Amino acid sequence: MTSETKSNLARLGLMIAVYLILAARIPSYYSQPGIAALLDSAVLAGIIAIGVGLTMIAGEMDLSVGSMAAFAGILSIQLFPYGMVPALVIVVLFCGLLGALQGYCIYKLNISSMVFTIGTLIALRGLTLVVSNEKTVLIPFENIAETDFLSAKFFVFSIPSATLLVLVLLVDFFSRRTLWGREIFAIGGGRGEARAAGVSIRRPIIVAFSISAALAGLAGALLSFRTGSASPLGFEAVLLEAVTACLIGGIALAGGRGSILGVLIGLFTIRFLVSGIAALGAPFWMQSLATGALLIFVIIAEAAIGYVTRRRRMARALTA
Amino acid sequence: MLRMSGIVKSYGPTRVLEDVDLAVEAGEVMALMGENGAGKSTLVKILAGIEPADGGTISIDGATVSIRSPGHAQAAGIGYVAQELSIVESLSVAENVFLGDETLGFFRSAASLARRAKPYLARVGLDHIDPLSLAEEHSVAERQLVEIARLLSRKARIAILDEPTAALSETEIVRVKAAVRTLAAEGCAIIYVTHRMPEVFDLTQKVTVLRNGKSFPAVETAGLSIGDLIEAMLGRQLGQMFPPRAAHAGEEILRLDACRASGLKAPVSLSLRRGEILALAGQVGSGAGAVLRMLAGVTPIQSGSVTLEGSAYAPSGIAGSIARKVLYCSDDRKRDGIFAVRSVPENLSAPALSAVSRFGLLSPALEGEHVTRIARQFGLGERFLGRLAGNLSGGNQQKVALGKWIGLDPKILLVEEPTRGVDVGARSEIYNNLRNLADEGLSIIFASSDTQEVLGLADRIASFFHGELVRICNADDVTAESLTRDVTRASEAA
Repeated sequence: MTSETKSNLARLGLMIAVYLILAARIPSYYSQPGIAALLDSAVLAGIIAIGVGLTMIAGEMDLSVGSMAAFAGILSIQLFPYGMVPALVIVVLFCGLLGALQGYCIYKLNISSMVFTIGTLIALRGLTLVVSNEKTVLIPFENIAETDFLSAKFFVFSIPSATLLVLVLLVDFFSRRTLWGREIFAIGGGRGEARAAGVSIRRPIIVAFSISAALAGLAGALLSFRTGSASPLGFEAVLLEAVTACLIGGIALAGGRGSILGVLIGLFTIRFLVSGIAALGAPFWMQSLATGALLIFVIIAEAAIGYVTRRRRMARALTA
Repeated sequence: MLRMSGIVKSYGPTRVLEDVDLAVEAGEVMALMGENGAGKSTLVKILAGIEPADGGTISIDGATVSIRSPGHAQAAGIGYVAQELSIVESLSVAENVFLGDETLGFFRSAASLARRAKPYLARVGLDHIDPLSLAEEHSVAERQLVEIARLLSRKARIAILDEPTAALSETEIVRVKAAVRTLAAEGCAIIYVTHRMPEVFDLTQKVTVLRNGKSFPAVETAGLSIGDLIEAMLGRQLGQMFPPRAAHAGEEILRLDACRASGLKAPVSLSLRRGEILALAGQVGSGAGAVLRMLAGVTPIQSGSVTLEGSAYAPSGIAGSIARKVLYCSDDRKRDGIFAVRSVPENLSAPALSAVSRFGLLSPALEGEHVTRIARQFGLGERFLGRLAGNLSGGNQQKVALGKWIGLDPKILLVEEPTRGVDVGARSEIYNNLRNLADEGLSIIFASSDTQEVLGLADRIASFFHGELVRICNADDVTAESLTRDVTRASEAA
């Protein structure tokens, strides 16, 4: 068993433990509608976390996803008259293109993506306000029923939550089993080393940021369709939850380590905890407190395990 | 097979290469030697497509090729193993073998990469390691071999190895040498950049020497002596490399009684006199470095006692040893020897900030005085003072790493591998600097795996093997053969 598998299993164990502890107190945790609601609550942050996680694996970080989602929300509602599917496709492609441009700039200017995406985070928010005339946009009342199928449940899945799971599998496959995906891991694990080995730096950065932006766009559009409206000021808090999911899911801030499946595990660990605390009727601040405590617990545990492994490896090297 | 002729390269106004010629045949290992700054790295970077040449031609099998990027070089069959490893630690060994290789198709699985990597790993003597394990789980030497496996996998016809053994111990070097021979046996033309003389004579058929950006015609290694080679590189004789030993040593300043620390398998007892240079000879992991780290307070003294100038000495951490004026210069200068992104003066004054301050504020005048004094002592020219430490050559970096401690007026200087990755010219300067300091009353203990250095520099030699002190002798009573026997005792017993 590789150390990566072990670490993912430990995280899975933590997620199941959080679920079981709360399920013992909350009956809805094992009812069909309850599980469906849990899945649905994870869609927004989940789809966005996949993209953010990919940029983190590349040793970068896309902070602009919240504004990108808001921009996509406004755009998708405005394009709604052309049909939902065309609107969705156009929005996702356009966001992907913006992301590719963003990645190209980060590569070309050779600046920290944190700095660059703080810029686009603010600028895109402004653009969104311009495009929306600073107003919340709505799907016309007579058409609102057309989006009902997005809330329909098949067993425990809705279309958005099924989309999340399919995307996780697809991007996980992409990151582990394709040349482009492995390049993202390579430049995140050692930028200079990868360059010296002949790995292109430009392509993986563009690909990671493009996927991140496209997924943020998809999440923004899906959620806006489901609610039938989009606010230019929406999706502000989602970045933090997405990054937390990545960190709890084992994606290293330094890059090169972690997996998209891990992100899903991290995401549901948070969702189980937060929804459970809400269902228990605890005040809102308890949710933040618990999420923060969970993240710190995971990070300390990682550090402790890392320390022990390094010591063992060193001891082995000395005796060898 | 490969012919480079009339290669010219300038960085701004400074001309680094003037009219350099070089030729290698298939199946041949050619050493490329020269002092740091002679242009070796620039020359191989031009060939690897990392730096463009300003003029000259490169031809392979008689056909002129244009190499403008690493991609061109790869397409031309040129593989480059840089001084800094290009192994991504967080990827598996198999992925590292095929890193940057786009010919395997878009889809790839860990298992298929591992299967394909196996034969290449076997050929460099890594058949025992699991290709799916992460690169970070393996030693530096093994990662070096993974790089050579990468060259094999790319069917490189020309391989450039830039100091592949600089960070390795003697036993590990044997493995790298074997892999290089495999590469040559398969018809690869190899350019082997190194500072280590034994490898040149052991491994290579021809030597091309660069001096001040000019090349000398290649000569057969078989007809060469070490003296000739050094003379060609430096334009001076070998005898000047090491300064004469101390005329007399002072009173005892440091005594170790049955000391144990992590990395030592048996207690060590030693003594050191004022103005003496003591060598701890041994390979990596022999315990020679462990004694230094213990004295520096990096690792705790587990048992036994240390006496410094008559009073007990048990430093708790580096700050403790600095307070007693026992200063330690580690073998990893990139990590903890220099502040790579700070200027040379800042590096030199960093440990002595309180001495160059007035009323808690830095005094530029005092700092300047301090820096100039050290720079003069260590032969760091005026032109280096404005540069970032990380941009200096290995030799000058080492002078900075050592020099910064001198400003604290140390009693004992502990140096691990004083000239690792340092060219011959700077080496001899560093030896002279250390000897001058010792003559002024500083006591020096250095750990080294370089036999020549131990024999040439030390007054007394303590040899270590496998965590144990083997013996302590006066340097005059030790020969290269007896020392090698001491530090490799096991291989003899086997």
